[in-house]
Amino acid sequence: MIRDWPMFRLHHFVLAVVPRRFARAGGLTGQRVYCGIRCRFLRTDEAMFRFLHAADIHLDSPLRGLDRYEGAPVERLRGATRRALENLVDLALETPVDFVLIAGDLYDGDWEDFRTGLFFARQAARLDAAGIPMVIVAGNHDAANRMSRRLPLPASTRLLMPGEAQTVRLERLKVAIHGQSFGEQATAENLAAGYPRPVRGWFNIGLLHTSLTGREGHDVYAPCSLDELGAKGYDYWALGHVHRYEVVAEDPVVVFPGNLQGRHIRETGPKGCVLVEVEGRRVRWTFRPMDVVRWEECRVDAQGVEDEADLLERVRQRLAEGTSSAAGRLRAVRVRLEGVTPLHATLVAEQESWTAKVRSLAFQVNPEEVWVEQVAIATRPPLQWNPARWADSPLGELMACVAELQASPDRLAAVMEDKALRDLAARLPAEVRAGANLGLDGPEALRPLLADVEQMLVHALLTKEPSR
Amino acid sequence: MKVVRLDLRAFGPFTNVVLDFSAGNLGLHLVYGANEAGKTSALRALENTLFGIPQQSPDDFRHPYSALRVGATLQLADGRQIAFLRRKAARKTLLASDNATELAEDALAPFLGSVDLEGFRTMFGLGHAELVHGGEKIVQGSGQVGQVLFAAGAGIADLRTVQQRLEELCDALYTPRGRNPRINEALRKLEDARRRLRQGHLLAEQWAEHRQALERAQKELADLDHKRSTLQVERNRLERLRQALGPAARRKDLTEKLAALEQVIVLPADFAERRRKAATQLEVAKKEAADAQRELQRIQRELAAVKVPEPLLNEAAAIDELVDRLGAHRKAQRDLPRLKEKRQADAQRLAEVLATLRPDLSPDLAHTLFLTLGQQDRIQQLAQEYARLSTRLEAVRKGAADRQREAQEAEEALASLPAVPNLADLQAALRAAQGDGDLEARLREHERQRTKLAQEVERALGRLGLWSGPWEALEMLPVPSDETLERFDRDLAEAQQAVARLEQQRQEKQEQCDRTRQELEAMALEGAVPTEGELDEARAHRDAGWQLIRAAWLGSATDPDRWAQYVGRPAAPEDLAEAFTRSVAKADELADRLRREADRVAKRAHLLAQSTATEHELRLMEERYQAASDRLGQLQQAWAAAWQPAGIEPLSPPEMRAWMGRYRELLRQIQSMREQQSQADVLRQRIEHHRRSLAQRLAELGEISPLASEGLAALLHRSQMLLEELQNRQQQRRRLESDIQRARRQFEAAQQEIQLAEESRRRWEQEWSMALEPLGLAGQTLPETALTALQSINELRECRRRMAELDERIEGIGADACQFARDVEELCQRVAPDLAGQPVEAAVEALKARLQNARADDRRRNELLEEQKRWSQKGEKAEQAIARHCAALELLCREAGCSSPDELPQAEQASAEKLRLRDELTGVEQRLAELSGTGAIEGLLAEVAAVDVDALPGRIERLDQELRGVEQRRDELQQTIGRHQRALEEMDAGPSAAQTAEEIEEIRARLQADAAQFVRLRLALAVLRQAIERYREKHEGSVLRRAGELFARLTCGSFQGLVVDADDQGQSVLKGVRAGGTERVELAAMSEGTADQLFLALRLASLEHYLEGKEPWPLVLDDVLIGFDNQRAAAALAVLAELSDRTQVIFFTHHAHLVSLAEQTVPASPQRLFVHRLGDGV
Repeated sequence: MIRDWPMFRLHHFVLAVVPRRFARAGGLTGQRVYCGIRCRFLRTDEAMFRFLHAADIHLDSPLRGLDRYEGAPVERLRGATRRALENLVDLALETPVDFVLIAGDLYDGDWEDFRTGLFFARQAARLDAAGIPMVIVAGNHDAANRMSRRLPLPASTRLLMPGEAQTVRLERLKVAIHGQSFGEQATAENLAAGYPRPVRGWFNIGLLHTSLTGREGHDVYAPCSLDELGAKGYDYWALGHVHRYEVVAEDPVVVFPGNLQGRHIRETGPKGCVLVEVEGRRVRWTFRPMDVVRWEECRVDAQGVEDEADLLERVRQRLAEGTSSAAGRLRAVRVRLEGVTPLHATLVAEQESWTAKVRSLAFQVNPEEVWVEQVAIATRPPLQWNPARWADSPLGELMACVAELQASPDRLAAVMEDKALRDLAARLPAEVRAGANLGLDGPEALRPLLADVEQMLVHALLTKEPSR
Repeated sequence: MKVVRLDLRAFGPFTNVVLDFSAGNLGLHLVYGANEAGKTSALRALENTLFGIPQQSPDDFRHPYSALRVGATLQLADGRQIAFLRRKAARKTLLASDNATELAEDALAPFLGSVDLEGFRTMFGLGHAELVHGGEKIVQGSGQVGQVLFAAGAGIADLRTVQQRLEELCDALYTPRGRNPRINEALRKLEDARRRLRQGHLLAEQWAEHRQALERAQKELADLDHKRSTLQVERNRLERLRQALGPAARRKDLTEKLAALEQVIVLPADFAERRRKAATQLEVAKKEAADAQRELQRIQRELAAVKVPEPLLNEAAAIDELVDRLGAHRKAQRDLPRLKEKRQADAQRLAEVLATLRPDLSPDLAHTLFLTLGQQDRIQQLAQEYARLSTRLEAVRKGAADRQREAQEAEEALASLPAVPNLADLQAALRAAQGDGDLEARLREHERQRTKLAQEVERALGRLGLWSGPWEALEMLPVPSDETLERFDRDLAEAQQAVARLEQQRQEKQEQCDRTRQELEAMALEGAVPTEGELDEARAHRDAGWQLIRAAWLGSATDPDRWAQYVGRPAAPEDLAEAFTRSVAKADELADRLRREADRVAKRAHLLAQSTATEHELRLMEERYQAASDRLGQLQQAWAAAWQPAGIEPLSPPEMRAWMGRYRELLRQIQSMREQQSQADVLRQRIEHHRRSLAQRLAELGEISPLASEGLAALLHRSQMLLEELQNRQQQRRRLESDIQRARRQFEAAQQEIQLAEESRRRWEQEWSMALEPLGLAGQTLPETALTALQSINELRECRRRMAELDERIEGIGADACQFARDVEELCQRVAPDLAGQPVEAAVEALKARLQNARADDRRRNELLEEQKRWSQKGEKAEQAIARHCAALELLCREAGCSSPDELPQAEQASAEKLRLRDELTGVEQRLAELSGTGAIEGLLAEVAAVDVDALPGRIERLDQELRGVEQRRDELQQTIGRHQRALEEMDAGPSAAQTAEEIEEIRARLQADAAQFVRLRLALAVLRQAIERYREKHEGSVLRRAGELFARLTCGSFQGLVVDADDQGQSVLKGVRAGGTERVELAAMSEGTADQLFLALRLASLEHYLEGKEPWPLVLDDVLIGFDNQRAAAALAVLAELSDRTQVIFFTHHAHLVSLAEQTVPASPQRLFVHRLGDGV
């Protein structure tokens, strides 16, 4: 019987190309990978239809943390969020789907460039030309955006208003879409509570930008509980706001599709939308990656590696391993070196040169595919010097100094009474200083750097330059 | 830790080589290996043994990687030992010394402590290059004490460079005022990008305005397009009509003309051509036929004129032969007279020669003189031999004369040389004198030594003190014996100690006494302490008063004196009462106090008792002290008395012991001075002996006897010169005598040769006269004359031969001429009888001319016959062509319907005209069809007929104007549309703010990385500075003091130490102190070698300091002393040997002289130095 489904081929395709990695990156269990399609019984007398559910597009929001370097595939990075949106429209046109839902955060906050809007308008026009309507609710980021009101959107694109919940009815499909936009950025009100009752006999969809009862790393907006949503009697809840694909519940189906394109190293793994098929009484959904740049953390075990070349070879292998899962996408990779290795001191002391080496390796693996975002040195030295043994030697003195500074922030502050540092701290804009410990915020911030500094100095002092 | 043994089992060039470092306590181990002996390999082996063989080891050239084995035995200070082998592998590299059992990787850990490879190299390894490098860096640096100490302590030559590199890295990242450092640049770019972002936001209003304007313009454009196309349709129609007017009129005209030409036959296009061709060819054929006829007639005439003589032509070959022979005949006739003249000349020459040689002979008999070849050769041979014989004879005679002269000269020379006396004695004397060497120099040396010693003795005498007098007296000085001195020393010391001790005790007692007294006084000051005595006294006083009062009261006699005594003054009765009352009160009070202050009373009593006892002891003590002092005095007097005989007032015994040392030293010096003196005397005697002996010999040889001032050396020199001169003369005489003998022997030999030569000459003369006989010459004829005669005879022979030849040729010429004449005559008879009887030459010439003519006539006739045949053929061809062309013209006339060929051109013209008119009509109709647009011309013709021809141009012009207006407006609109479209495109596609935002993110990422790195670098610099400063604070004193000592030793006292001094900026810097202590040398001013020594001193001092109280660790040195001169190298080796008491020192070197230097320098006991030689067992 299952062979008679028109979606059977797609089902196969999904089985073939969705490897376990997706599951891991997306936080799914293995079982779900093989049964990426879930069913729910609905009415029996209706025709089959499909729609796309996306959210958190954050159009034209730049990718963060990518330091441009020689050989970096700069062009492939440009306009990643736009390319992802194009992918979404392409998918809608190719499938084809009957309508598209966007559950908030189409734009990125205070973004005022009208071009962003124009780009979205062009994409909407493509859908319009193919007769595919689109329904959007504004999320917290959109709420702050002023330009969207002037945007020349096609008639088939419906941006729902704030203030009260509205219902869009698609007569042909007997589908009712209920939703309400954010009127202001921080909406602490429970919007779901005000959503209307379902249209009897129709397929009811709730379109909502919410953090539900709270999600880690996400601000609390339009809070509501899952039970509350279930009680509404809708068939599908198309949620937005959480940047990670999550099937919150299956009866009714409550889904966060995650954002369309990861924007920094904390948004790793595949990003995309959910393709939903409704046939008769069954609802089936599939996650479809739409991203053009994929963020990943590449952990390299340097345990016991003694030779630079060996370590680089390990890095190369690990970098190459990721190639297949990215399927030709640009990969923004943070290489993280871990484990106990005698190379630790060199790595710490020559961090910059190591970053350059790893980047050049990435260039060898595939010059167009990998952008090494950062090389994080998380290795540990093999032998802790015994300070007592070296007590009367200069190196012992050095280590004793470091230990004392570790223990006493006041002394650290005194030692670091440095004009250049104060000057730099004053000149670095807050946006640069945020999000990373640069050691500019007082002795407590300096303290974690001491271990690195010790390694750096010991390495510099013990490495003999070749005598002339 | 100590390396007991290094086992080079299979490593580098070594196979089973063992370096045993077990000897001694720790020891200075010198490992010597010449180049190639494997010193460097051994050094590396030590390192690899302790810390593992690296992956890319170069030491596999003899043993493969898998077989590499190197091992060691290590020993800790507490005696624990480990013996192990190291192999090359990724893990499990440690084996027990059986080369099989695996040891745990950390088995070495207790032995290595926390020293790893880097630590070992830095702290405990020092190579020559590093030493030099370290020295250089120390000298180049500012000499700041902290840096120097830190660098030397850690073995980091490049501390300054490390700091500089960190600073450079910092500066490359950020400087507060820079533009180019990376952070500065990124900040600038960030600011720039943010500015662009602010500017770049596109406003929705602008976009909408453009959009509306664009739409308006597009609509207007569409309207205009429609209007333009309507106008163009009308204009095109009118234009067509205008163009059709001309062709329509022409069409009518042509139709009419063609109707008139209906009867004309239309000829084919090539008709005229064919007709012209036929006529022309007919003309040509006719002309050719006439030419042929004319030519044939001419040839006939010419043939008749030609006649050919046949007989002459038949004899042509014979005539040609005679013509050829005529040349030769003429030449022979010309030569004949010359030949006859030559023969005459030869005959004459023959006669002349013969006349000179043998006038008696007639020319016809000349041949009798001709000799055979053998005879001639003999004469020539003998003539040559004559010359040789004469030369030889002459040479031999000259030789004999020379030898005779030489002998005479030598004899004369010998006679002039005086005879030589016997030289043996002189030689013997000289040899004896020279055999003793340079006696005078030795004498001078001894005297110099003696003088020096005498001066030293004088100085020492001055320094001796306590005694004065000549040094001779010193030897006799009766000083007390050492034992006496010892005894006095002991006794006096004891006595002095006793005095001192007693003095101290006495003082202690005194102090005790004083203390007791002070306490008593203090008690007294606190208030008098009542005593039993005072109470008794007071009571007695009271009782006395009572007695007086009682006496007075009872009326007994009063004694005013006793009253006054009692009261203290002359007293009235009241006074007595008063005094009594007081005395009662006093006695009571005393009794009360005694009871109340019983403690104080007791204490006072105790103190008083103690005071008495102490004073007694003090007195005893003083007595004993006095006794000890007396004993000391006696001893001192005895001490002085002991020195009395020497006339010396002695100081204390220890001082006198030192004095005795000086005195003995002085005696020793006097002794050696005396020895020098006696040796000098001996030498002087020897010199005198030799002088005498030589003088005697010289006198014997007649030389002047030596002057008293002439030293032995001068005398020796003179004797030597004389001896050499006499020996020379002797040799010269011997040479002359041998010359004379040789000359005489040679003279005799020459005489014999002369005889032999003369004999040969005589034999030659006989042979000569025999050889000349056939010539008829006398035997005495000289060889030259005989040879000339031989030449003349040869000439005669030549003349005769030439004459015979010439005769033969003259005869031949005559015979040839006769034959020729006969042949000519015969031929003439046959072909030209008219020529018979003519001279031969003329006849032949005539025949030749006639033959030529006959041949020319014959050729001409043949040519004419050929030409005749050609022309007759041409004539026939022309006739045929004429017939053919006439027939063709006949056919053409029939085709054109003409009666004769002359009418043909007219018919052709008419046909052509008709064709032209037809073509033009077709063209006009075609044009009309085009203009009509539909192809049907009738409609067009009707329209043309209907149109007003004159109004047409005006209507077209109006339409054109209207169209131009429309076009202009369209252009404007299109521009407007373009402008708006561009604006919209630019707005849409221009450099998007999103891109700028991405750029900002990139810059931000870069800035974060760079800023973090910058902070780390600054922190590193600060920490390093602090560590340097703290190390200096803690270790400056001890390390610098020790380094100063070592530096003084290593520079062999050129420097006396190191000092911390302030430089111009007030920084503490290190300076060297020159010997003498006044001059301070900055490090920058030190020479390279000294810098090396300074660095070594600092390193060793730091190491010693570091090792204090720690487990020793071997110091491994690699040829560090190359740059040291021998003296400083020796000092360094001594220092290292001492260091080896603290820790093991292993010194690798390539230099054998260091080994021998060490063996000389390092004291044998206690044994510290151990030398190992590489290369013997390899």
